[in-house]
Amino acid sequence: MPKITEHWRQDTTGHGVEGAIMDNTNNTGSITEAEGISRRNFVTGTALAGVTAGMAGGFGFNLFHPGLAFAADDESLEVRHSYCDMCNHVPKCGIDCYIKDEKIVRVESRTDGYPVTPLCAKGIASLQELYDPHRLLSPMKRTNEKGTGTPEWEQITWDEAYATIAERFNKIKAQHGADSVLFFCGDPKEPRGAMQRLATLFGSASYGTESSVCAAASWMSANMVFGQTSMGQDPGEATKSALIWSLNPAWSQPNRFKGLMNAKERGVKFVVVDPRITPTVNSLADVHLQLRPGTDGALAAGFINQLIEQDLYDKDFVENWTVGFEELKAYVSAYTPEKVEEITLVPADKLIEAARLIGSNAPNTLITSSKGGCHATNVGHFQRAVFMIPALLGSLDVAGGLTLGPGLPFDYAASTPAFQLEDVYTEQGFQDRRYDRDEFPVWARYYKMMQTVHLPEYVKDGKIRAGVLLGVNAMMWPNTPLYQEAIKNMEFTVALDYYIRPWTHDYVDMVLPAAMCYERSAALGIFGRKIYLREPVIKPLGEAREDWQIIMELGCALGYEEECFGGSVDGALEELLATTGLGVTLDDLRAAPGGYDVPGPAPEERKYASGKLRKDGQPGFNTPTGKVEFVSKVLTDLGFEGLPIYEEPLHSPFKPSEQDKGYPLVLNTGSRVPFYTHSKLRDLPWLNQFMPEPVVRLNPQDAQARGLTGGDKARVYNWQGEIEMTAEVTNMVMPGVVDIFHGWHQADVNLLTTRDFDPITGFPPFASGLCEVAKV
Amino acid sequence: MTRQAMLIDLSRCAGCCGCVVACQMQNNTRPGVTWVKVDCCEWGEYPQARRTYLPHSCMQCDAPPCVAACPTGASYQNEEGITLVNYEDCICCGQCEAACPYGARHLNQTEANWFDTETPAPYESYGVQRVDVAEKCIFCNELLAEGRQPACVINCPGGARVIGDIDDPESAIAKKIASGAKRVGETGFYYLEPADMPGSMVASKVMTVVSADEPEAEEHQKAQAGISPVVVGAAGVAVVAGAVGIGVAAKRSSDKKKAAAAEAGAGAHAGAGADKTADKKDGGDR
Repeated sequence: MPKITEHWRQDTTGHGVEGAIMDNTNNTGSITEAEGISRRNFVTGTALAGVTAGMAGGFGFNLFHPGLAFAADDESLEVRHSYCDMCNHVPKCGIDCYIKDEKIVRVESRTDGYPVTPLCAKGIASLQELYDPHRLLSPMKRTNEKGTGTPEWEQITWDEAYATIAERFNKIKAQHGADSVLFFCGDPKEPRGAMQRLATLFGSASYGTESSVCAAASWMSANMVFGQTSMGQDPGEATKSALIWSLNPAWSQPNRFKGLMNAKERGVKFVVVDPRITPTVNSLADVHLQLRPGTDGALAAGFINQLIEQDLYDKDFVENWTVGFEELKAYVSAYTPEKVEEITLVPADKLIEAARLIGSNAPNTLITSSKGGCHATNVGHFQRAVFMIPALLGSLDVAGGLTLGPGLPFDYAASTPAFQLEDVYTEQGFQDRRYDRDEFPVWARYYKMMQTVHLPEYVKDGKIRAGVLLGVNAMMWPNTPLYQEAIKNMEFTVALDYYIRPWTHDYVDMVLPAAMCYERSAALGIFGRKIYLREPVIKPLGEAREDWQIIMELGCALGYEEECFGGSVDGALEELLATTGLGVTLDDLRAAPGGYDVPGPAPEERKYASGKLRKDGQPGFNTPTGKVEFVSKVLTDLGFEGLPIYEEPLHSPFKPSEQDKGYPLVLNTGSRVPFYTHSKLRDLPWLNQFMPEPVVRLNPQDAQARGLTGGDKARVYNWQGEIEMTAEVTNMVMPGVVDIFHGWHQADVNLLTTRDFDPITGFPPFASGLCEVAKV
Repeated sequence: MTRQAMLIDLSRCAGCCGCVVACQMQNNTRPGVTWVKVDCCEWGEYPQARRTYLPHSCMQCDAPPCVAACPTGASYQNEEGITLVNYEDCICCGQCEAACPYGARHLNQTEANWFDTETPAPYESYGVQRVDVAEKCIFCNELLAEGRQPACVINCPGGARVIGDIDDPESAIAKKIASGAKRVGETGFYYLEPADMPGSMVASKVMTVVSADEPEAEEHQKAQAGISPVVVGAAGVAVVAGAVGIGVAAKRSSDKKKAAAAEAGAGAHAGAGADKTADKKDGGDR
C-alpha cells in the first residue's frame, strides 16, 4: 500500500464515525437508525422514500480519497515536458504534463529549473482546450457561399486540401503574380519563421502578421532610438528603479509578476504609467501617472523635460553617444509639468516626483508594451520618446538597465533571417514590390513583413486575391466588417486554426486543424543562451497537424519539396539550427531535455563603446548615425518630423471635430484580462466562468451621469458602430474614459475603433477613440 | 505538533484566478463547483482609488463548526489541523455548509462534465468522480503528504500563497506571519494586507456572517457610494464581478446566511461563479 493512502487511512481511523453521528443524529430528520448512519444506508433510505430528488437514481458513486491526482498508487503516470501556447506564443511557460495511457490527465507548472514559470489560469486551462470537444480536428472545406452566416462545411482529406490549395495558389500566381497570395500569421508567433520562408519560396512579398497592429510599433520605435528592437526589460539585481509604461503584466503576462514583486521587495522603485488602476499599479507603483489615454507623447515630453530641468540625466552619455539633444531639450521645454497636467490630467507634482524617483535611482530599466500607448494616432513619435528616457539616464547596456547586443541569433519567433530566406527577399527585390511601401515607408524599412491594415484596399484593388491565413482573426482590425468583407472577396482563402471561428471563418474557403502545444514540437524555446526543444507530448488528436508541418507540407504541394524538407518539421528545425552557425543539432537538443546551454562570452557592459553592437565593429549603436537618436535620421530622411513630437489624438474630447461631438468619452480598448487572449479561449469553462459576458468599465461619475449602475446593460456607440455590454462601475477607470476588453464576437469593440492609422507605424488608435454610453 | 496553515500576500495577488483553475483541475471538481473563491475589494475614489483581490477558501478553523455539525462524522479534522471530508461517509445533507461561517463548503450534486459531454475528458476521468458529497478545500492534503505543495500554491503566478507549519518558527509561513500578517479569526488562514486597505474589509468579505461587534468595512461602503458593489450580489453584478477577475464572492449578509441554511438540505449554492443558477438564486439579496 502506497504511503499516501496509508496516511489518509490513518486519518480516518482517528475519528470514530459513531461518536460524531450520535452527537448529530437529531439534526437530520430523516435519519433515525440508532446504530449509526453510513452514506450507503442514508442514501438508500432517502432514495426509497423519494425525499431527496437530487440524490436518487444513478447513484453508483465511487468511494475514494480526495484529490488523488498524483496518488502514489498510480504508478502509470509519466511526466513529460511541454510549453504553453495559450497567450501569444512568446513566454513559453513550462508545463509538466502527467500522462496516463497516452492522455494528459493533469498539468502543472514546470519546476525543474525551466526559466519561465509558473503557469497562470490560461496555462492550466490549456488542458481543457486540448480535449475541448469543439476543437476542429479535420480539414474542412466550404460547400456554400461565403459570408451568409450559415456556413456549410464538408470534411476533406489532407491530400485534397493540399491539392486544392496548390492548384488555386499556383493559378492565381500565374495570372496575377505571386504577391497576390497573402501568407499571414495572426496572433500565433511560433509558426512565423516557417510561414515567412514559404512566402519567400513562393515568391510573394505579401507576408504579414498580427504584429502590424500589435507590438511592432514598440519594436521599431526602440530601433529608431537606439538601434535595437526592445520592449524593455524586467529589473535585474542591480536595478534601482523601473519605469513601466502602459503595461499590466500582472494580467497580460502573469509569469512576470512574481519577479517584479520580488524586485519591489528588494527595494526597486517603480513608476507606472497607465490610464487605469491595474493590479500592476496597485501592487508595484511608488508613483502612478494616470494619464488620459492617447496623451503619452505629452507625458513623455514632460518626463524628459523634468529629467533635464532637475539635472538628472547622464551628461557624459548624452554628450558622447547621442544626437539631437539640444533640439530635444528645446522641444520638451514647452512641456512644463503644468502644461502636461492640462493635456494629460496627470498632476504636475506627480510628474515631478516620478522623474525624480527614476532619475535619481540609476540604473533604471524600462518596461513597455506591445499595446497600451502604441494604440494612439501618434505612436511613432511618443513611443520613441519613451525609449529615450533610459538613454538619457545612461541606462543602456549597463547592469540593471536595458541590455543590448546580440544574444543567440534567433528572433522573437525563434527563427532566423537566413531560415526565412531574407537574403533571397533582398536579392530579388521583394522590398521594392511591397504594397505597403509607399503608404508606410518607415514600417517597410524596418520589417520584411507587410503592414496589413490596408488589406481591404489591397483586395478591392485586386492586389491580394488569395491567402493562407494562420490564426487569422478579422476582429483584430478596426472597423472589422471591412476586413471580413475583404477576406470574403478574396478568390481563395485557407485558414489554420484550433476551432472554426464564425466571425472569421464564415468568410474563408477552407479551414485546416492545427495541433496544440502538447501535440507539436516547433518552435524552439530560446531563453538567454539556453535552447529548449519541445517534443510532442501526445499524438495530435483527430487529424490535427503541427502548423510547421502544415506549412512545410503545403510548400511541398506548391513545388518546393526540397526547400520544405519533404514536409518534415525535424528537417526544418535542423536547417533552422544550421542557419544559426552555433553548431547545434536537433540531436544535441534531444540529449538536453533540461535545456541546451550555448557557451558564450561573459556578459559585457557598454558594448556600444567597444564596437560590439554594430556589424561593422565600430563603436556606437545600430542607428544610421551610430548614436542614440533623439532626432531620428530614418524619419527625417523619409520626410517625417525627427523629434518625438506630441500631437493631440485625432479623436479627442479636448479638440472634438464636428463628427466627434456627442461622443465625449475616451474609448480605451484592447488590454488583456488574465483569462483570455484576444478573441481566444472563451470556449473553455475553466476560463469563461470568470468573465462570461462582455463588459464595459466606467467611472462612477460617468455612470451616475448616465443613470447606470453596475450590472446594467449598456449601449456603447459612436458614429461608426454600436455594441451592447454589461456595465461595471469602478474607480479603477478614470472619469471621462471607458475601458473595454476586446475580443467578444457578440460585442466587437472594433466596430467602434477607427481606421486612423499612424503614418509612421500604421497602427490603429485602439486606445484613443471616442464613444458614448447609454443605459439600455 | 504540526499546524498546517496558509498565508496569502494580497499585494502579490492580481486576481488572475490561476488558483481557482488549478484547484478545479487538481481536485476534479464538477462544473459549477469551486473550492477557491476570489473576491474583490475596492476602496477610495479617483484619483486615490485602490483595489485588491481576495482569494479565500476553507480557513481550516481551529474548532471547525462544520465538523461539529456533521451528522455522520464524515467531516473531521486531522492532526495537522486540516479539516477533511471522508466522502464515503458523507450524506450531502448540507449541515456543514450551513454551519460554515466562511461559505467554504459546497454541495456537489450534479453529475456532469465540464463540456456537458457524456464521456468525461481525460482530466475528468482521472481520479474518481464523486457526486452527492459536501466538498471543501483540503489544502491538497494528498500533495502535502507527498511533501509537495497544493495546486493553488504551485501555480500562483504572483507567488502570493505560502503554506506550511506555523508551529515551526523556521518555516516560510511563520516568517511571513511575523512580518505583519493578520489571522482570520481562530483559523489556519492569514492575510498580508496592503498598507492602506481598510482594516475590516477582509473579514467583511470572507465571512458569510458578520457579527454585530465587527463593523462592515465602512470605508469600503463610503468609497463605493452610488456604485453597485463589485462583489457578487445580483445576477448582473455577478457577471461584472467575474469580468474583473472574480471567481465568486462569499455570501456575507445574515440574510444570505439564513437563506443558505434554509436551502442547505436542498443543496443551496454550488458556490462557483460558474454556477449561473446559483448566482441568479442569490440575486437581489443585497
